[in-house]
Amino acid sequence: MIFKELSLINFGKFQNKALQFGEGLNVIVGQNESGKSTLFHALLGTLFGFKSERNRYLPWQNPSQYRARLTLQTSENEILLERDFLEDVVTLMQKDLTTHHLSTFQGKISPQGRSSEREVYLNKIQDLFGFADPEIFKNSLFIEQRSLHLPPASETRAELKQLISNISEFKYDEIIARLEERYFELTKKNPKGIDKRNDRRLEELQKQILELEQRIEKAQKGQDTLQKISEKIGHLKESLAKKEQRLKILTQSISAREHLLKLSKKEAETKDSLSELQKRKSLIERLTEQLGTIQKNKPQMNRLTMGLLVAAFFILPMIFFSANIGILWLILLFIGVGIFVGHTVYQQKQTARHYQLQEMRIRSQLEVLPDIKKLEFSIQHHQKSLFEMDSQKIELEQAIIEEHKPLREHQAEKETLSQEIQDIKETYTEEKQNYLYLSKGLESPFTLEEDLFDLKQKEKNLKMKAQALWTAKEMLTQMVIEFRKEHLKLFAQDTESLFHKISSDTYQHFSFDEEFLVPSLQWKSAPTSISTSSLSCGTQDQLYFAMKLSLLKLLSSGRNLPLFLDDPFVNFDHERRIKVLELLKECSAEHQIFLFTYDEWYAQYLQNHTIIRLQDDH
Amino acid sequence: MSLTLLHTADVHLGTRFPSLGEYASQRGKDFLETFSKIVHIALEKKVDALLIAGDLFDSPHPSPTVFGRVKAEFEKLMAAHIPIVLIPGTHDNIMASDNIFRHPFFEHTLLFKDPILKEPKTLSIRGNSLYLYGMAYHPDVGSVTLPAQYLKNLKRREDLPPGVHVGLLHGSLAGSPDWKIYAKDFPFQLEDLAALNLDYCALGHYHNRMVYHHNGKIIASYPGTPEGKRFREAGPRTVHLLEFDEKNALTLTPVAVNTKTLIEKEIDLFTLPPDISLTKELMSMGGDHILARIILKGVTEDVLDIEKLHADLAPYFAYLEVVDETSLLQSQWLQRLEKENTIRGFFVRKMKEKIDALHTPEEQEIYRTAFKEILSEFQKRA
Repeated sequence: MIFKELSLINFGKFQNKALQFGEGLNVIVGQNESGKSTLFHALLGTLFGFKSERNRYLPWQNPSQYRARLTLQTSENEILLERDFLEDVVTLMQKDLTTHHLSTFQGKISPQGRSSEREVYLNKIQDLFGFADPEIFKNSLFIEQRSLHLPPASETRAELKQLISNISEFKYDEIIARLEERYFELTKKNPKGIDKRNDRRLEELQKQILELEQRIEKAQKGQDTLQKISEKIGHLKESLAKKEQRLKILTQSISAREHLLKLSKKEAETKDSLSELQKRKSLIERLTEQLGTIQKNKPQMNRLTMGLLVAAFFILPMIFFSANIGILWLILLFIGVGIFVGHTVYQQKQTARHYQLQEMRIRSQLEVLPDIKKLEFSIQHHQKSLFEMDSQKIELEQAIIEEHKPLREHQAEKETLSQEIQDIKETYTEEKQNYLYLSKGLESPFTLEEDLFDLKQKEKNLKMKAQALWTAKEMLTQMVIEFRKEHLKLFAQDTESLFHKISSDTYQHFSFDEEFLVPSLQWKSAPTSISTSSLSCGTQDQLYFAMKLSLLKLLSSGRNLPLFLDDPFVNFDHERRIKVLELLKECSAEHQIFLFTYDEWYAQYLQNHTIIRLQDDH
Repeated sequence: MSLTLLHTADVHLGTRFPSLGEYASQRGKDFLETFSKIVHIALEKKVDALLIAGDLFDSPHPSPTVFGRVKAEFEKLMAAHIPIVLIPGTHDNIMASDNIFRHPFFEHTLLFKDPILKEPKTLSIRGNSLYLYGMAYHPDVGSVTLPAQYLKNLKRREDLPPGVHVGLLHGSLAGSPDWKIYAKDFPFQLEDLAALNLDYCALGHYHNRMVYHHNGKIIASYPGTPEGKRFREAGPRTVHLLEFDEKNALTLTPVAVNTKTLIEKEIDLFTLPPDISLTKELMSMGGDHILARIILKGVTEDVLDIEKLHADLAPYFAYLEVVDETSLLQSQWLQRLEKENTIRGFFVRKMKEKIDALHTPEEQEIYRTAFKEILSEFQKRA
């Protein structure tokens, strides 16, 4: 593929400047500030657009139009590419050289944009070059001033490593170092076991998590303990209630039984007393009856005795009268009557005395006996008490449980129960105090768990990030090594064959030390290894150039891409310069080469090639 | 009787927010400010009572600063003779013997400090009765005693003179979206609530707003957190203003109270039009009162420099989290890299093979992230 024409429609200091390039070697001669680097950047910019350098090449005149056009030619196609740098609009026309088929594409293609057109365009660029990255383009196609020489031996290794790990497309070692650095910002722990001294973000987080987990565990345990105590307290309460209930019933029963005993005794007494009272009552009744009989049967002496006494009063004078009149029988009659009367009176008196005595006896008996009314009242009272006792007995009997058990047994049970209740109450109080003590300051797991969730999430992300960074570092390191191994032989072969061409078969067996990437070769005449640093400067340049070219080939997957050299031989002596130019000539058979220089000498020396002179002719 | 109540719950004063980093302390202040707003609304609307259905505090032992603020705000309500009705919740539960509700100050409030309700509390408002039922959450629920054993105590007492019967309950109603129910969360069903036969049940515990109807009437609601605690609690946050008319018919009005607004937004960069700048797009969502979590998704062509994006956007937000879930694996750029005969091309090919060969999703995730990290480095260098 070659660049056929670059047309600077309005770009930097150039206006309507068209440059035609030839195949092979193009020498572009111009004084400093004549715009040599502008040309290269115009190429680069037209292909990829500008990120930050856009204003650097803003047209000096008429800046409202800022455009350049590039014509490319491959074996099959001619491609016309025009870019408007102000709008970043690219027009791409592609013409098939055999069929003359024409296709056009236009789109906004800015370096930072994200459009589907940009992707289509970049895919096209990749097809052309094998890559679509302006950095790779710059680093691999462009050889800067004073850069074309092997570095000093001490730096060779690193420089070569870099070179081989791809034409300075990237500084992979820097990326690896940066990944590692970022990893150790997150954690001090190296997966291989080497620790940094101070805690990093992950360790600090893990400490917080551990502390929180311990607090949660404590809270959880505390809660569990409290639950157990709470259950225990519940059981105690329950059992206390049961026992107290039993005790109550038992106490009632015992007291009922005791009461009943007393009551029975009292009942018996009352019954005794009642029968006594009743006996007395019947005695009094009998006596009263006797008294009545006596009083009824007592002789009524009053009139008869009075009559007899009156008669007796008259008898004596009658006797005397009779004696006076001397009638004996009359006397005798009267005497007889007198005797009769006397006897009757006497008898009567005797009877009266008998009754009197009897009456007196009964009365004295009655006197010691209580009053019948009081007695009756007392009897009634007693009977009432007995009745009450009966109902009390029924009531008490209801309160009595387990009659078959002896009272003693119940009393013993009561004692045990009271003791047990006392013990339970003590335990209950203890547990209650325990609960209060243990629940002091108890945290809520709800609160802590939410915090933990957040921290764990953070930890997970950090861990993941750390792991990813470490993996990234490891993978990249490994891949770089693998790539080098895979490509090293190919690269060495290609370099060797190229080097052969230019060093007239003086050397052979160009190779790289796989581990250190130190290049070495042998004299063809004597098969001993020689170090590259022992080669002459000119040979070293050739070798380095051959390597760079091989890499470019590798990179473009065999596409013969153009090469730009910006006065790279400015410090070379004559012999060395000739040698390298011969090499360039050799290479230009396959690659289009642009040699930028201020030195007219090159134009003279390479006069058979395309010479372009940049002059302040605008 | 006409009656106005203000219902809030899950204020979570004193939350620590370990995930918010430097913003955590400010977030605590936001919560206090929101609490003051609630009190202000109660005063402004001259409500008949303020109901707080649990988790006023985030822990049983809030800091003196938090308690001081609560006390000061409550005193304003007390001065205006607005009763404060509250129940302890799951976070500020009463298990600890020195829990905050033991403070004598709460004797001036209508606090249900027992898990077992014996008698409802009665408030006389302009000659009418408001009967309040409530229970303190206790961690024994579920492990020792079933919720139903506590819940039955909240059943309407039919023998009381006419009035409005309102319950306060902290627990999880089955069927709430995104809500796993555990025994310790005091689970119950809508039927359980309906069976209580209360005029309204002020719920707490679930952090997003929900209103529950039964037979065409509102019977309960979760007002949600008045200030979003997590990003899931996005958008405006409310308290519920309850108005009972003469016939005890209830009107429920949500009133926004949040001090700051949480936003959780997913943006698919693949579908974002190319002429729209992501930074500007995100900036337009910002504001001094916005706490945002932005999740970037989709296939992108460029690895996002999340740190830079965050640094650019952070000044436009009170707090910002940017989560990068974008994927490069399908990008055109990666496909081009894959074709390159460079180390990075080689790397991309090998890495893709490697990821495909991995078995566990965890490993794949690690390798994908690693891949992205390296690609990001490639782009930075490019």
